[in-house]
Amino acid sequence: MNKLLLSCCLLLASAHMAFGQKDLPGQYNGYVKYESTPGLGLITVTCSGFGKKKQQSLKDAAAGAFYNLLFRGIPGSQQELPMIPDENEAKNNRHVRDILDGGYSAFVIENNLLGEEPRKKKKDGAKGVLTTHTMTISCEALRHYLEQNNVIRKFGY
Amino acid sequence: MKHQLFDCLLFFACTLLYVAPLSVIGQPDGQIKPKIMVIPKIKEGESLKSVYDSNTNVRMALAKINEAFLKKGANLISFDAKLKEAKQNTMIGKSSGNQSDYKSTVLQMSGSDIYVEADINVVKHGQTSASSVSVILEAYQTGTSNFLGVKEGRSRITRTDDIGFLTAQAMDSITDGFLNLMQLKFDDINKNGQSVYVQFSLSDNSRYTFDTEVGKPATMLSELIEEWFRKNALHGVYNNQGVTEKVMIISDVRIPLKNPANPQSNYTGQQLFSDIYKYFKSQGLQIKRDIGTNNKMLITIL
Repeated sequence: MNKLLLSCCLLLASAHMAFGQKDLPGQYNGYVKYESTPGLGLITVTCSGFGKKKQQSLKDAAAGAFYNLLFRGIPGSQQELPMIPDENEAKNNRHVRDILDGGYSAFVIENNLLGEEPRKKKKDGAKGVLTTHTMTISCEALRHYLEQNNVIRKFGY
Repeated sequence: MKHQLFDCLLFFACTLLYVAPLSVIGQPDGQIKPKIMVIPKIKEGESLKSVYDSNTNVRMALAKINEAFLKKGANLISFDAKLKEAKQNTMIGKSSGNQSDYKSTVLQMSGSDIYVEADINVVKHGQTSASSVSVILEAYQTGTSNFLGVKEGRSRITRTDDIGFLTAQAMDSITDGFLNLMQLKFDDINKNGQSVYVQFSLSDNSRYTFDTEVGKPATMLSELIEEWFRKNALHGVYNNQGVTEKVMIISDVRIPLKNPANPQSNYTGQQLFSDIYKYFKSQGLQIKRDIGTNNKMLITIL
């Protein structure tokens, strides 16, 4: 529990420090840290997001977590390799956009709010809220969805 | 009468609407599922069969990785079944004195494209009576021995004698990652072609060596073969490992997954041999195939 709080604080601090650089359209933050594997095909991560309102911040955090899982991989976990090998080819795919625009909720098993605090963006002074969550994602279901929609290949060549 | 005709048409339309999507779902996606066999890793002097039969942990690790492959819809070959088959095979009986021969013969007999070796080590932690298990999984292509991936997993250090439980824990920590790593290699194969090992040798009473000049214009046999691979390997990728008067080894030639002449069908080792055969025939040479799997081909020039 202490470790979780510490990582939450670290994430909040790093997210706060880097706000001025993450406002480009279509970019997602990298404040995603592997926590545990609660079961086969599942992954729990801590992620942070920012938005005018709490709900938008949650969306930002979840989209960041999913973007990292899909295109960057989560270091230290079994999902250290990105699920989608070619980011440039797939990031504008309709199904990927659907997931990042809110469709991710179908693959989130559990989402707990760890902390929230009001923040002001360095770049434009916009006020908002920074939230940090622990999120358990069903990687197996996500992979299956991507396979079904031909975003990634099934096992084999 | 009109009503009957209308009912008939309605029924026909409904049937079409119901069946059409099914036929789309039922179509194969054209993806190739390689045949995979999981075997225990043996040390020098150990027997593949006795390690498998006597060690429950080995069997458990193999079952775990088999389970993970099955969940992915992989095309699995049962090592247990192949061992039983091998026992009845007289050819195996002859080579059973040599364990590495035994392993390669079992692999060859299995017809697998890929094999995964599972190495299991039980570690006892001093006087605490605690134990842990480490598992190393290594994947290779059967014919070429090309390396496809490796993962090492460890269980927690626990005070228990239930080594099977620890083995399962170690396996659970790596199976997903291992399969993801393999898929990365599969994607590469899909893009850059399948690897095949091709070895040419001469029959005892052959009138050729690899330095003999054949064809018109007269070209050294080895050069003629290399020329063919240069033209026919996918993206021109092949590796001529070496040539002597009597043997020529193309240790890795990339072939397409789909037949260029008919993209609906797979291009297999059999088709590669058939193409090589036609080429040799056109040069007035006769060949025979000693071993021909999807990844390994031993060809003798008569």
